[in-house]
Amino acid sequence: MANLKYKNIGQKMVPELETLEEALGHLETVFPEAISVKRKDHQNVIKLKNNISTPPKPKIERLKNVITQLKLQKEFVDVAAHELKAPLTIIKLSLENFKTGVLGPLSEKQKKVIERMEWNVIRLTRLTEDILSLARLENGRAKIRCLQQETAKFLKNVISHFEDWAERQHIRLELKIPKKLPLLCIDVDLMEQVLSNLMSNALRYAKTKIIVTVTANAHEMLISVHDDGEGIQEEHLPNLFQKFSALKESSQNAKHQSTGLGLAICKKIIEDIHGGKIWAESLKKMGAKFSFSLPLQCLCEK
Amino acid sequence: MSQGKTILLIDDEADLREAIKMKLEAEGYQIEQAANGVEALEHIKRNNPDLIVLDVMMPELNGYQVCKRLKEDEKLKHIPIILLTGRAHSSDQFWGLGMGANDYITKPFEFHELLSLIAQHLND
Repeated sequence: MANLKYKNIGQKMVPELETLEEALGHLETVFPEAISVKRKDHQNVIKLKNNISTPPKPKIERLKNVITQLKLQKEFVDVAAHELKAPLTIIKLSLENFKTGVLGPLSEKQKKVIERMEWNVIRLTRLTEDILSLARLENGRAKIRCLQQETAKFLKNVISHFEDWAERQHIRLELKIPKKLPLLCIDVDLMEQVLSNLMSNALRYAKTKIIVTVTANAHEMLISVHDDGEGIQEEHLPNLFQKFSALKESSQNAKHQSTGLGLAICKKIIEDIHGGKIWAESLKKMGAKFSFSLPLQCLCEK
Repeated sequence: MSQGKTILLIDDEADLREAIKMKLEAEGYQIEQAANGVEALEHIKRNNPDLIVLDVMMPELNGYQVCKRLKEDEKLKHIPIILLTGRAHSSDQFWGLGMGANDYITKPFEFHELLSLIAQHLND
């Protein structure tokens, strides 16, 4: 009886462990400095997985260890978040103390340097957040809550956050949203992350306008963000959604530079969580067009 | 008016306390510090600060536990508590507020965000 129970529980855990193994692999890529520590854990996980798939002399103790291991790995991202954010906060606030004159007056030249440092702290913060949200999405730690949303209202709300930025760059935002659209079943926070990512990318490259188009048929909704910038060279298209594959941007200031993880995060959110599809197209001199489709039937709660 | 109002900063990171202290003092607040939850509870009972800025992730007694103890104490539960959290999960924030915290702010934050929360809870 105990053996059977152990086997059943063990089998249930195998896919979990496989995900974990994969996530650890990714963590090694994004935190190279942690490799030596992680590698040991990684091997332990593989060992445990093999033990579980072919249970030798099953012991509940061993299963407890597996669970502890799993919990530890999942907590890793949260601990990493705290450990990375603490120093960032200190640097950020200290720079702000300089900039706002709390520590005495600064020359124009000094102010410029402080500002450059601030932008790069922002960049590092964004990178940290992207790495952590990717790690959460990959090891299943992200909390997903799907809700029915009025499509047009949701889209307009997200896009409205970009109006000021667009205006400053003299870029027109065009929305082509039909009056009647079906409801969308989405995780609002995650989907906002996707749209924001596509919008800020488009704003980085657009020359005069960005067109957001929505269409729907009986099964799915199609949303696309199309800028009128230089477009993307064909050879780059297949790799765009991989981590750190972002094209090197020429002399953008750090404040608006991409982290290189945004599209990888979008792909995870659209394809793995919402069961949709995301892709990019580029026509010569016609700018870049990023589109995603979402099934109308909610797939979140599998 | 911020003049004379006392704020207790509880965080195990001395550098963070120092950075926040500089700014808040420049804004006219009196700043006191504690490096952990145990020290903080003693300090609060003795000095009765006007507001508490409390880090969540601390060794031994964490921010949630400090928060809970303060809010269970009839004499101390009126003191507003702003939690500093490293996480952006909304459930963690709910948990913090469930423990009785009056507000929370997610690291890394900017001073103007912290200042406006402080002013709001001190009714400045």
